Amino acid sequence: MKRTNDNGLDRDMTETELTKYESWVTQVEAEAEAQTQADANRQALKEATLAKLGLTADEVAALLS
Amino acid sequence: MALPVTFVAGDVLEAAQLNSNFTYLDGKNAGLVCVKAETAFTSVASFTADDVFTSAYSNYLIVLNYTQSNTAGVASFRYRTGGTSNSTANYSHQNTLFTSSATFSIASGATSQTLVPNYGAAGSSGNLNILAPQLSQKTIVTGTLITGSASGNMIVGGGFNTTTQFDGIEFLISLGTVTGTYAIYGYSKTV
Repeated sequence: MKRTNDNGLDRDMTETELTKYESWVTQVEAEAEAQTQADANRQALKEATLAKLGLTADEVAALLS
Repeated sequence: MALPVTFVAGDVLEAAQLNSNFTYLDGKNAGLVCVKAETAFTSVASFTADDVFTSAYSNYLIVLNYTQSNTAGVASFRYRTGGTSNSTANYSHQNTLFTSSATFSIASGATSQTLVPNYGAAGSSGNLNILAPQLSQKTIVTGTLITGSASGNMIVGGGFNTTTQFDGIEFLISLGTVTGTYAIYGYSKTV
């Protein structure tokens, strides 16, 4: 059983609270997965763009500094 | 501003002078007013604080200190109204974790306000400013958290993208449990 602190009182979650909590975990894990995928896509695009340009990341950073 | 009456060694203290100073001090507003005393929680997956945001203050400070039983997972919160957490997809955040490099976490249309994304950085201590939760405008959070054993510095920024008014908050952790304390203060609106 998951526990919660209800305005200062540690206690077991009610069935309703547990259902809402588990729903939140499902949602937040999906959001985290989407974030991870977005990060991976961005990194892949970055590497592909650098390859097209024939530049290293350090060289691009130097151009932008 | 100085006290109405000041004394030096050898002065005779008169009741009226002392009362004048007491009256002056009694009328001063504290800059921060505790609206939720430091509250401990032990091995819980969530905690709630209700009836803490009122019309008495526009902005609030939350001081949070906890350890986490799991080294991964997401730490988030949801605003509450009348004891019910708001789970609509109106939360957005732009967070940055600084370690030896910077990692960004950006989201909009989320169903909770992410504080610490799934970076494997357990436990956090720090402060959150909750701006305008009771006003009919977007509620903003800004803050800084040090993640487990001071291994990272998390800069938190986000907002709830409607004008819903809130009176409470629920903190959630997606893996394991948290143990620690929190306290909530209102920023005085007057001097």
